[in-house]
Amino acid sequence: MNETVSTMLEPVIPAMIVGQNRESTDIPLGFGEPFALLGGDRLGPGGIPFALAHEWQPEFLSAVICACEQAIEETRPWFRMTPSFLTGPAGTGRTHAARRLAKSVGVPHVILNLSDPLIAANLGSGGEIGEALWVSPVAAAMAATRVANPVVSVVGMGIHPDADATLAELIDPAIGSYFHEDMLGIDLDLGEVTWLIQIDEAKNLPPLFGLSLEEIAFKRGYGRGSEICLSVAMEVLADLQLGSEILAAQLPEILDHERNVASVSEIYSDYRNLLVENAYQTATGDHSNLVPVQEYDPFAVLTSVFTTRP
Amino acid sequence: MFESLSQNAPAVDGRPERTSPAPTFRIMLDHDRPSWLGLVPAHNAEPGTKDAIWSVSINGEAVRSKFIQRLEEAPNLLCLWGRIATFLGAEALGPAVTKMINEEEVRLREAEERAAEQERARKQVDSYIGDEKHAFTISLRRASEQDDAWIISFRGRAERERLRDWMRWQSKRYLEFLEYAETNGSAALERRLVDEMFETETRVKKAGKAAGGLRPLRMWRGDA
Repeated sequence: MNETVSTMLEPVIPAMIVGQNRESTDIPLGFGEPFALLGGDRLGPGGIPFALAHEWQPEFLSAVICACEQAIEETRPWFRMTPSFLTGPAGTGRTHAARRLAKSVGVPHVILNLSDPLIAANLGSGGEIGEALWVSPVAAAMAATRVANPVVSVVGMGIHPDADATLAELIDPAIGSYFHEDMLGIDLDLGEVTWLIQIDEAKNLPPLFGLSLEEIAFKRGYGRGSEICLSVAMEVLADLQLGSEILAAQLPEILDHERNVASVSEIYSDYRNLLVENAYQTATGDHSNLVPVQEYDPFAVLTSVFTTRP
Repeated sequence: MFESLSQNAPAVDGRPERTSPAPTFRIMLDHDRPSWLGLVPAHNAEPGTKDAIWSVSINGEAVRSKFIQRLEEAPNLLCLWGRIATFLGAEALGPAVTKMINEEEVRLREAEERAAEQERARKQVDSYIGDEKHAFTISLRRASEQDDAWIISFRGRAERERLRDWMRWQSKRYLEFLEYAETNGSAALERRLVDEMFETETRVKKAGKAAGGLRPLRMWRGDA
């Protein structure tokens, strides 16, 4: 008996074999081994929905809660969301939301840009002809992380019709289980992937997607002091691997950030610059550009937010 | 088995219905410690005080109630606080909340002072005269109001001045007059004032201190 008590008590992580080769047993990139299906340990209300921190996009939060409840109902111990299309003008935070979701679930986030010719060629290839020049980002991410249920943000639809048509098949739970990856020569089961397709308006969705998709409408929800400031700032911190004390010191400035910027990515960019600059100055002892604490009331912004917000 | 997992996906129509998400955080009170209030994640069905991600003690029932009311009226704010406490720790909220409580105390004190001032003004009644064609008036008005609370009108100036000679020495009773009018009506007060004026005139005449003409109390100075 080699198992110790602690290993016996460790929760079992569900897994699935993603790759199949109909013609040989040679399955590259480890696709023949079990890949983890994650998120099952955090399906409750205090798990993914809480960690998502997206109260400012209630439709998205609602859809995630719904997906968690469905998994619990089906006693499926991992997270998967119904393929959805995220509508709304550019810059409303759809990619940010997808990244937060992936982080909350504990899976990788992949961006599948259909306007990229290489990716479009990979998806739109006929299989036998061998048009694909590269493995798809989804397959690459799955192979690199050995996770079978990543969150995929699809952008750039409507440019390459072949790629759009393949995507429509991919997101179908039945057909998507046998996606032929040309460059690897194997079939991939992408049925546990969470597909989040970004499109500006629902009417622009190609008819071939039919009724299989759920719409999640994103609204411009950011105002002075709104939760998105904090949410984006946390994303910057995670990306830069900075401690939260950097953010705590900058909290008033973060919350007071002027919201006349065009998009969430601009907010991200501003915060990144702000936090990087301050982290650098703190690390190097160069405080020449830092605002001295005594020159402003660090919590005046918070207090004013309290009084002005509805 | 592994390959077939994804094929068990439910039909589109079989998905649970999406509903509006419930608030993420809520306020928690402790009956054993009335001054204590905390913020807890709403998904925690039966939280204890140790589950609070942030807490504060506020002495003073009025300030505490107002503070809670303001938080309950702004669910977005509650959420923002919850997120700050979750991400950055409870201490990140401390100074802001202290400031908010202090502001609330100041606001409450100012409101009390305003109410006291309003009450004082309500009890201060002044007399005014008005001269218009065929309408010479004496009115009583509370300092808290813009409009007259009671008014008596005469066709001639002399009649008005006759009553005024008496009324000007009754300023300490103006509030009582108004309360009488509120209870018994304006006409009753008119009759009462005129009757009291006649009584005073009779008494002053008997004492030989009355002035002649239409204004017997012109030289009277309010003495008994």
